[in-house]
Amino acid sequence: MFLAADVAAAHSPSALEYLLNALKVLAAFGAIMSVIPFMIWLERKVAAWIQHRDGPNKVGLPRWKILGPLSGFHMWGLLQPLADMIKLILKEDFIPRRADKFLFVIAPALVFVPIALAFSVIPFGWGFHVGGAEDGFLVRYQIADFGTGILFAFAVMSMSVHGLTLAGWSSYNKYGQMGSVRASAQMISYEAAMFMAVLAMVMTTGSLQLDDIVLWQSTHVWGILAQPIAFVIFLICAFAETNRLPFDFPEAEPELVAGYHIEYGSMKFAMFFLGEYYGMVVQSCLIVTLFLGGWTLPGIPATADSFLASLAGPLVFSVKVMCVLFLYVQVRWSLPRFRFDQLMSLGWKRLIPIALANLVVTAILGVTFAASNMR
Amino acid sequence: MEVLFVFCAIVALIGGVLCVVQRNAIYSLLSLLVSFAGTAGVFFCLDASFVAVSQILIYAGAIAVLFLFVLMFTDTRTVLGMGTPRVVDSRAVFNPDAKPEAGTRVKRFVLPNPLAALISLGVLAAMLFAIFKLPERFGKFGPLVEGEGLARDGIVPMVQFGSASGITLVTFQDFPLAFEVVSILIFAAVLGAVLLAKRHTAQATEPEPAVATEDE
Repeated sequence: MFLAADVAAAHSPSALEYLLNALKVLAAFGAIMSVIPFMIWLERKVAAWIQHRDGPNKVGLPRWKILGPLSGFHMWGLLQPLADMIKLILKEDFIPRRADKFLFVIAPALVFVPIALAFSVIPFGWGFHVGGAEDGFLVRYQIADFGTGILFAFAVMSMSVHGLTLAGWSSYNKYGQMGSVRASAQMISYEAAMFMAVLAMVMTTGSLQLDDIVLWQSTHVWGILAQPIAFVIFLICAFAETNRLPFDFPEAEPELVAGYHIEYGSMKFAMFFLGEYYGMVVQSCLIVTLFLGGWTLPGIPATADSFLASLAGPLVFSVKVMCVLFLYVQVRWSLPRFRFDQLMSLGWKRLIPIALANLVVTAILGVTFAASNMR
Repeated sequence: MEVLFVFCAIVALIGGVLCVVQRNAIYSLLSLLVSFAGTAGVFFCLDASFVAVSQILIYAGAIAVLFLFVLMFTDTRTVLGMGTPRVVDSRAVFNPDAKPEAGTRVKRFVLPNPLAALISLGVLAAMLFAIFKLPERFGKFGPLVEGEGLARDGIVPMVQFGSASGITLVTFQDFPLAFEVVSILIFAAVLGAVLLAKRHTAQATEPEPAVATEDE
């Protein structure tokens, strides 16, 4: 049951391992941070596509002679996020006079840091073997691997709502305050259903470790087939968790102007923006890991540990994550926003009973066919 | 690991003290969050990752958000008609009728309620008793123990201390009675809450305006 933990406990870490771990942290963080500008571009392009516009199509390579035929190439507007970022950095860093300065300043970090922490437990591949058969060890494509990885991911992600709420409260603004109230109310109405959906998947696979869940899916079926109801519930709640349309009540532009981040500008606003997109990426990773087979694909060995073979894992994982991210963007521009009380009644009156029923059925089936579930 | 343990413990203690001393309820909540995080760190250092994660998930995630939700509705800044949030008696926040006379200063330190102090000391005594009088009860757990309860088909899985399985074994094998008592307690609390909410809606003379009307 504690497969990976036993592997990790079998040897004491060396200096090389510490170095590799640090590299893993840098690589994972860097990868997500470089996906986010692309995500922003994708969002604007898909929005334009859905609304029959062109979208960003001007910001590209400069008209320099040394670039040769590429001089002035528009690159389909791919450098637009760069221009946005420069604009945000150059803006004035503004704090309202009656704001609670301490909370106003730390709130963006309180949103961003927990979400970034959550990625640490997500396995994006199996790993590769370093060194000989005797003294070698397996470098996992996962930053931290411990017995309760999935709980950790959700625990720290749920902390980010404090940042949202405090941001709105500290800016001393009616709209901000309303955004805060909505953020906390939203969270208590979908979280229970979300955990129950995850719990159903945990009961099916018999493990709280994300890599064990992926390996179970590679030997049985993907979670989306094993737990379709849990998948739908989780998907709905994932949209609510990341404050994306159709559940973006804390910021709801037409009603609350910008909600909790109304008073924020410059890089503080950019931090919220990054937090939202980082949250989307991490949520997509969780969806892929829990329900779409993680890094595995039928036909590709799930636990190949030579370096070249192991690269297939992160590749498959990235493609799957990008597909889920595309779904995120498409849903945002296709569905209208729910009314605020509709999410609460959806969460409490529909999703929680359905998730509970699903859990009970899973438990009964699990006890009946216990042998096939226990590893 | 010891250094980390001491650091987390100090963070938890500082958070706890600040939580009580702080007079702005929002800052109290933030200090409480810091304290929860420190406690979770302590559990992590003790190899009890499941307890640590539960600490964050339930306390820092769910319960603190409920507190925050309530605090959002109690405008701490306008209760005493003061401009900035720093000069509000945290007691007054929860008692809107208690307005100070004009010209009186808000007390910097509020003495603890004797009953609350008594209850806190009682809980502390119970915990100290549990820690110092019942060591042999918990002594049998090493880093890895064989879980007899999980044995199936002659296979005895190794159960890690502090893991989900370890907690499950302790809860359902060693302390099933305590578990059932706790569940009955929580059930009673939920029933009470439902009863209170029901009575509140029954006593309301006029029906509350539906939330929907503002958007129609």
